[in-house]
Amino acid sequence: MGALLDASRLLSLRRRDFLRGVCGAGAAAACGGVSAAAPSKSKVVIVTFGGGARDDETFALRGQRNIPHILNELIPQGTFFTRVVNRGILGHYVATAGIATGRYETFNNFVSQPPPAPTLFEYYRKHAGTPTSDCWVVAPSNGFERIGASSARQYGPAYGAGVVLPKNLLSSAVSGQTAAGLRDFEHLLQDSYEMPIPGTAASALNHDFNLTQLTSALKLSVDDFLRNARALSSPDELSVHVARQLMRAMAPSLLFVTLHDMDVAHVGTYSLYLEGIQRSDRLCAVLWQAIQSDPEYKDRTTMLILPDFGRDADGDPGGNGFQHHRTGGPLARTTWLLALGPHVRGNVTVDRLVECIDVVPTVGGLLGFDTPMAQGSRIAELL
Amino acid sequence: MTPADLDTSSFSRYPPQAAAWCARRIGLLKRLPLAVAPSIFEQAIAFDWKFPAEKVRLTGQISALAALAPAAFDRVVAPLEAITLPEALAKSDWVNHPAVFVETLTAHLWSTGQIDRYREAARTLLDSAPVEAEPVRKRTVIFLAGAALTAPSYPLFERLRASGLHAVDVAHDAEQTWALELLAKNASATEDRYANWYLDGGEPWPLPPAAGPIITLSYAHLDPVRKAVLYRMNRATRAGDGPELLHRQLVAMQPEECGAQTLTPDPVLQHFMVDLFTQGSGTQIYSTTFVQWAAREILRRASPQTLVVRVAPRVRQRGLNELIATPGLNPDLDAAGSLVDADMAAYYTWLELQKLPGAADCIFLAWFQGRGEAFLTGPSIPRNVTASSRMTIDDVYGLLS
Repeated sequence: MGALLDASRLLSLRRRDFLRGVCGAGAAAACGGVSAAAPSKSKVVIVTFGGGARDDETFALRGQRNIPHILNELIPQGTFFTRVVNRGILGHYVATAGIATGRYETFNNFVSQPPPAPTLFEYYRKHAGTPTSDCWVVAPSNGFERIGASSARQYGPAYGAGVVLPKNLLSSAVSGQTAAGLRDFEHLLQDSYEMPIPGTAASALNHDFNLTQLTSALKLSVDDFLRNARALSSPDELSVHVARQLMRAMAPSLLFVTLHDMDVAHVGTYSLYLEGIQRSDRLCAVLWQAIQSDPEYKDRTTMLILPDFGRDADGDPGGNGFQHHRTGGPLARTTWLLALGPHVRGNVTVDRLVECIDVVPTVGGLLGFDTPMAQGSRIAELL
Repeated sequence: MTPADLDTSSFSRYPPQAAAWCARRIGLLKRLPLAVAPSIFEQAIAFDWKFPAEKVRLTGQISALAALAPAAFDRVVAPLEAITLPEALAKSDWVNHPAVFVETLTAHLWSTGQIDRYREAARTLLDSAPVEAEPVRKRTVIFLAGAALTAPSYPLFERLRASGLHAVDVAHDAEQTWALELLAKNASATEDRYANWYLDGGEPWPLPPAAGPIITLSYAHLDPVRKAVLYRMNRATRAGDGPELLHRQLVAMQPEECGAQTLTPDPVLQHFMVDLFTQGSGTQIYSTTFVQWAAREILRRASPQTLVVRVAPRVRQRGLNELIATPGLNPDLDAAGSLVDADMAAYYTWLELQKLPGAADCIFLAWFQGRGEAFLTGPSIPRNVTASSRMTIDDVYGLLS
C-alpha cells in the first residue's frame, strides 16, 4: 500500500496547490474547533459521483474549466478534503454501498443485493424512530434498487431508506406514450454504461410500484412528472429533479443522491465524459442552492460531495486511461470530499488522509447516532 | 490440478501452434504459481492468431524467466505463491478455459483485498524477465481528424504540446493524399505483412498503388463484424444474462460467427477484427472509440512501422440499449464531440507509441484539418514550441528533414 499512499499524497498536494491559487483556501489549523454546534433537526445530504472524475478533468490546470461551480461557489463556502482514499472494490454499486455502510463491502458488484452491513439510514432510523419517509436514496437504475437497507440482523428494511430510481419511474410513467411521445424522454433513460442491462421497470409489479411512488412519495401526478421531465437534459438532471421534489414533499433528514452521467466514460467518448462532469458540477450547485432556499433545510443541513472513486491513469498498461477503473492504481483510488453546512468552516482545505468509509461515522456524529458496524472513523474537522 | 501436474497432453485441445509452443516450454510452465499460470495460457492458447511481434514478445518473456537461476526464480514467484485462491478456482479447467479463470481470479482478488499485492507481484515477475529488445524501427504515426470534426474553442493538443511542435496556422488544404502516399512508400520497402496499417473511422480513402502489403481497417469495412457483436449483445441484454455472462459470450466469439472470414482470408487479422469489438468497450457503437482502441491495439500488438489513422465523426449520443438494438438507425452525427474525442485519441495513440522500442526516434504527426492545427514530434523536432506562421501540412512534415 506504500505506493498508493505516496501517490495519494502527491494528488492531495496538487489539489491543494491549485486551491490556494484559485480560492486562497487556508489549511485547517487543527482538528475540531468548529464554529458552532449543529442545530437541532439537522439534516444531511450526500451526493456521490458514480464514475469518479480524475484530477486531469477537474482540479488539474486544464480540468478547472469543467468544475466552475464547485471551485468558485462551493469550495469557498466549505471544507475540502484533498486526499480521500477508497481501498475497496472499484465497482459503482459495491463502492457506493460501502459509502452507505461505512465498510468496504466485498459482494459481487453486478448482482443486485442488499449490503450485508447496516446502512446509515438504518442506524439513523433505529436511533431516531423516524418513518421510512425520513430517509431517501436517489440512484441510477442499474442494480442500486436494494441499497436502502441491509440484510443485517436487527436492522434491515424495517429501518431502511426509500429508494427512488428515477429512470424506472420515468419508464413506468411513459409506458402509455406513443412512439413520438417516447422520443421526448429517450435521453433521460440512458443507463448502465459499463454494461447494458435489461430494464427493471418491465414487470407489472414494478410498474405499479413506480407509479405509486410517484404519487405517494413525490406527490406528483404522472402528467406533472412528465411535464417536468420534458425540460430536463440528462438522467442526472432527472435525479436532481426527483431529489428536489422529495425535499419539498418529504423533507427527509437523510438524502443520498448518486449522480452517474459521467460514467458514460466507459464507452470511450471523452467528450461525453467531460459533459457528465460539467453537468455534475452544475447540479451540485443547484442542489446546494435548493437547500439554501428551503426553510426546512436552510441553516441546518450538511451537504457532503464525493466521487465514489477515481478512474485509471493515462498510460497505465492495465487500463485505457479515463475509460475505466480497472487497474486499482492510485489515481483510481484517490479522490476528494467537499463538506458544506452551517457548522462547516468555509474556504478550508484538509490534506490528511481520510477514507470514503469515514462518511457514515461522521454523519452519525452529525445526527447523533452510533454506527457500531462501520469500519471508518469520524472526521473530526466536521464535528 | 496445479501447474506441476501439466504434461504435453494437457494441451491436446489447443490449436496446433499453441500446443507445440506450450509443449516446448513445459518445464518452465510447470514451475509457475497457479495465480499466474492461467494468464500465460490465456495468451498461449491464442498463439496461432497472434501477430509475429506478439509471438516474439511472449516467447522472449518465457525464455527470460526460464533463464533465471533457481533461487532468483523462486524469489520472484514467491509473492504470487502467497496469493490465496479459492479451492473451486484451483479445481477449474484453467488449462482449457484460462480466460474464465482469470476473470474469476480478478473478482476474487478485488473481493479479498489482494488486488494491489497481485499487481505488484505480477510487475515484479515481468520486470525480472526483460525481453530482448526487438529490432528498432523508425516508426511513423500520422493521426488525421478531418474537416468534418468541428469544435471551434476546444484547445487542441494540450497534453501533447510539451513533447513537440504545435503548428497553429496550417493551411486548410483539400483532402490530402500525402499520408497514404507515405504509407505506400513505406510499404514498398518491406515484405512484412503487418508493418503498414491504415485505420479509418469511416469510409476509407482509396489507397495509392504500393509494392508491399498495407492492411486497411475501417469502421465501414468492419460493419458485419460490428453488427454481429451488437446482435449478440442485444440478445444477451434481452435475455437478462448480466454483464459477466455477456462478457464471456463476447470473448468466446469466433471469426466465422461474425463474418470476419468474408473480409480477409488471414486468420490472424480475422481474430484481430473480432477482438476489436469483443474486447473493446464502446467500439461497437462509437466510431471515435473504435479508432482510439484500434490504434492502441495495432501499436501494442502488431508493433507496426507505419500507422495512418483517420477519425471520422461519430453518431450522437443516445441510450446505450437503443444504440445496441438499432445500430443502423442513427444518422445524426456529433461533430463537436468527435473532435474532443479525437484530441484525446491522438494523445493516447502517442502514449502507446512511446511504449514501443525506439520511441525516441519515432515520428508522430497529428493534423486536425478543420481547425488548421497540427502537432509534430520526431528526432529533430524541438519540444514545447509553437509555430504560428502560415504553413502547409507538407511544410510541417518537412521540418523532420
